Amino acid sequence: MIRTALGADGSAPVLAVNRLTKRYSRAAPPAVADVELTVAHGEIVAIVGESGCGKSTLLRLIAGLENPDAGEIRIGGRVVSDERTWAAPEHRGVGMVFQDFALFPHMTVVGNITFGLASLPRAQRRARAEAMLEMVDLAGYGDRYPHQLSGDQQQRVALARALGSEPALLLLDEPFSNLDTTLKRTLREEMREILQRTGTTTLLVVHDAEDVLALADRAAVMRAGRILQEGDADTLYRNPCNEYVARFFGETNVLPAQPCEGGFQTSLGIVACAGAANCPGAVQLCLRPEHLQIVSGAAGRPAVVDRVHTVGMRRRVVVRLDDGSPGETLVVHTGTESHLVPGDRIRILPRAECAHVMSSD
Amino acid sequence: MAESHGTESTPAEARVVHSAGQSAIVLALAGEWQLETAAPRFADVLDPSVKADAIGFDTDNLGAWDSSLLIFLLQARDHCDTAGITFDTSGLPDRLTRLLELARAVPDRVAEPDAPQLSRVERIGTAGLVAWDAAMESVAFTGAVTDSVIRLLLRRTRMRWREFWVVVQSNSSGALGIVTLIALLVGVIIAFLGVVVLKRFGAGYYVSYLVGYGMLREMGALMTGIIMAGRTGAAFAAELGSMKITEEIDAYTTLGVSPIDHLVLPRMLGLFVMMPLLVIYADFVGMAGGMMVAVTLLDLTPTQFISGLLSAVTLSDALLGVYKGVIFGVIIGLSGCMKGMQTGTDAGAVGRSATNAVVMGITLIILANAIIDWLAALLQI
Repeated sequence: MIRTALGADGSAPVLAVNRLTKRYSRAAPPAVADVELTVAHGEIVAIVGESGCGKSTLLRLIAGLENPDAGEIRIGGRVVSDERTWAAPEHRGVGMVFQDFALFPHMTVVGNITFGLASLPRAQRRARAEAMLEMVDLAGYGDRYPHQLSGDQQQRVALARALGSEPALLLLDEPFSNLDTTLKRTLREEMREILQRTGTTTLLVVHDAEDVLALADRAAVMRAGRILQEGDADTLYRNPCNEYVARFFGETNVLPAQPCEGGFQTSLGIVACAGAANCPGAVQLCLRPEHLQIVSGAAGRPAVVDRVHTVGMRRRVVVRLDDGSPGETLVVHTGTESHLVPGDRIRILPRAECAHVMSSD
Repeated sequence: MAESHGTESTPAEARVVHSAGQSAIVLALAGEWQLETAAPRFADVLDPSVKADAIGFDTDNLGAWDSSLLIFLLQARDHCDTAGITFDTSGLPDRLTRLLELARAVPDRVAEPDAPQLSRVERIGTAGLVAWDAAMESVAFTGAVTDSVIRLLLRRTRMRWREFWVVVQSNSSGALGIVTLIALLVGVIIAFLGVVVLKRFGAGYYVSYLVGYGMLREMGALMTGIIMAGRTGAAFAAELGSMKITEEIDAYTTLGVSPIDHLVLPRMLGLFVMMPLLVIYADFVGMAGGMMVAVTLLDLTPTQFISGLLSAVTLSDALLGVYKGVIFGVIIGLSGCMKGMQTGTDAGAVGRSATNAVVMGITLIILANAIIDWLAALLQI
């Protein structure tokens, strides 16, 4: 299911990773286990996961900064790493932007950019560096030193340095983790614009689902060295494969469910859902807050309002089901026209055909 | 979290109420349950010999309450759990029930399974494997540096001369002060030793021999090596270690520049050039120190001291010391740069690398010194 990635024109993918495994020590579980991943030409793909899930290791393996224990990496159709071959990082055609930018502190901005351009004739290097600076909106900053630049400017220089040699594949390691929220937002937009304008095939590692939605065409969710699910942001939001992915991409209600006649038996009653018939046993249902509604009349389950927050154009209502003694809490989104206060007794009902079935592991 | 039902302030009270003909005990909770006043303890309220199937509560007369009541109820529940009695919360106010749930909702701590106890053979084997890996890394690093030196000699690589000169500077003018001090004192110490021992045999004149041989063959190179290991070796490890942590070294690699050529080579060469010069300097300073002591404590003139020294030592003695200095320079450079390049990624890694570089450098210097002395004795140099 993962090896989908022939480009739109049927060309081979820029990056193809096949059953890649990396162990740091004999005793510990592998940092990267059996990972399969492809990135098509011009695509921006994100690897997301919590810190320590192996996503940075995967990036370093692709860059050639670590040696894999098993598996194959192809870049631009050429094998750069398998059991027999191992191409040095500079022969892989990758550009990398590091988490702490890793600019050379003793060189000027232009020096940093020209440093990676050794293949060009000396006379052209300076002109190329100036052009790169212009592209990242830093024209005129060429003679400054990295410590004279702000965080986002350093990040742009790092991007210019990595793109200077026109790599087949650009690798970004946590590009926004050192920036504050506002800078991050503008830089993210700009970066997407630059990457699309230059048609750069990009693989980036982020830990924030928001970055995925803003920057990437497609994302792979990684946990404990394995890729759990791959797809565009919409798929990951609507059809997560398990609870971890569901929660990673936004708030959700997860209900244990048993298949029954006409749907699934849950604490919200019978929820009609496609795919109930061929479900062998207990599963989980993913119901996003907007998939629940507060109804009047006899339908739905009784519940008590616990907390109400206003979030932009909607209200986030935390309710407690009014049946069992501990009372399961659920989150419901409603419009701002509703005037609920904690303690109100209401009834909630899932919207039709919104629930998504996930495996219960 | 006080919940007040009345204005009267009565002390906290818990009383056993037996419902006749039933095996359930009802505890009547009444009064103000506040942490600052004494609250009953469950063990004092309930006679453990009383047999019951369930414990319930009556809170009709309960006043304001806080955590003290919760503590009491948790004691009650623990008692119920151990004695197998039903704990009936139906008589408690809603908020109290929820707090009880919360108090119990601490997740079960997952006990880490103890690492299996290794047998002695396994421990020795593991330590052996670790040592083997470390040895292999050292060999690989030495090989990489050698390869880089060869490429430099064949003019296949370009070294960063600026870095080289920085190292030269920090190991010449920057190091002279400490080398002067230590070498002078070592010369003085050797001379004192000679004065004490040789004067006994009326051979005080031969202090110049001892100072000459001692400084030129052994102490000049050894002391310079130890100073440089602590100064320069640690600095190399710290510089390269912090570059490793900021991924600067990885950045060089991905841009197609070998960090060995670019960062290690100039440092190694700088030390390689400067160490013998520093050793020669230390030799002279040390002999001067020895002369000061000999002239002050013995009936010797500086001329006598110098002519005695020159009649004894030969050029090969001096060259042996200089040769040692070269070897020590290579050892310090290799251990400092290697520990720097092997730096881990955690916060304390740079400090650890610097310490390890010094320990490794000094150990190897002394080992190498012993081996060279042994070879020199065999070859009768």
